[in-house]
Amino acid sequence: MAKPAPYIAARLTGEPIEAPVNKNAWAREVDAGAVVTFSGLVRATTKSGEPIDRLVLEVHPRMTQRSIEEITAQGGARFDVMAINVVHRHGVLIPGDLIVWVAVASAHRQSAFNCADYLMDRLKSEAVFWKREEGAFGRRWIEPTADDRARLDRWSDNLSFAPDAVS
Amino acid sequence: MTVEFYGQIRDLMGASLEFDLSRDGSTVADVRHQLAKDHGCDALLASGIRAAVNDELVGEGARVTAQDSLVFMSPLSGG
Repeated sequence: MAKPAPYIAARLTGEPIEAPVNKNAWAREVDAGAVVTFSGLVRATTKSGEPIDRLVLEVHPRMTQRSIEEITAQGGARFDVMAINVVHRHGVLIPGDLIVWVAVASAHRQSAFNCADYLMDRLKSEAVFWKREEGAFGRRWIEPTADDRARLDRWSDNLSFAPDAVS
Repeated sequence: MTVEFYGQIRDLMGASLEFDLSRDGSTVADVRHQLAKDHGCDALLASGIRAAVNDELVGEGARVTAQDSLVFMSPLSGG
């Protein structure tokens, strides 16, 4: 029997993300046995250790939201999970701000761990964002690192926004 | 037609501009090369800068009309 379609929510916001405090209440709604959450924060320094004043995430008015929805939906189809909730921030952020929040509920924990891992790898490399760091060094655009690419390669299907999707 | 730019290429080309698509049958590649020439912006020719027409990623041979929305985007950063 095909697995029931999971509850899926994927939201892009320009406002500070308020992660739900009572995660258990959210999980009970789908009768889950496990909830894995991930919070991504803006780091205070660049990869080379320079302090940053702000991180700016630019978006496309439609393609960015669609990319988050597609990645989230594909995670829901790929793993045996009951619910996914993704909230992604854009605009001007400062160190310590929540940039992305992912929650996955499932009957048993491994599916939720795997799905959250998959979602973050894909969001980190494929979601339609353009990021730049700003600080005393000026401004610097960021691209996915070799490590991001290697992590993404672990999940090699349906990568609709991958760099080689259209040639 | 309206052409928009996203990511680093926006620093060089601005957020958007109106391009006079005077020739029928023009492709994304035609527009890209003409814009690069008009604005002296060789960076627009980099292979990493992808195009989208009406919010869909397309290849260089895709045809565009004056009614289309064309986007050139620098490599994605991811979230």
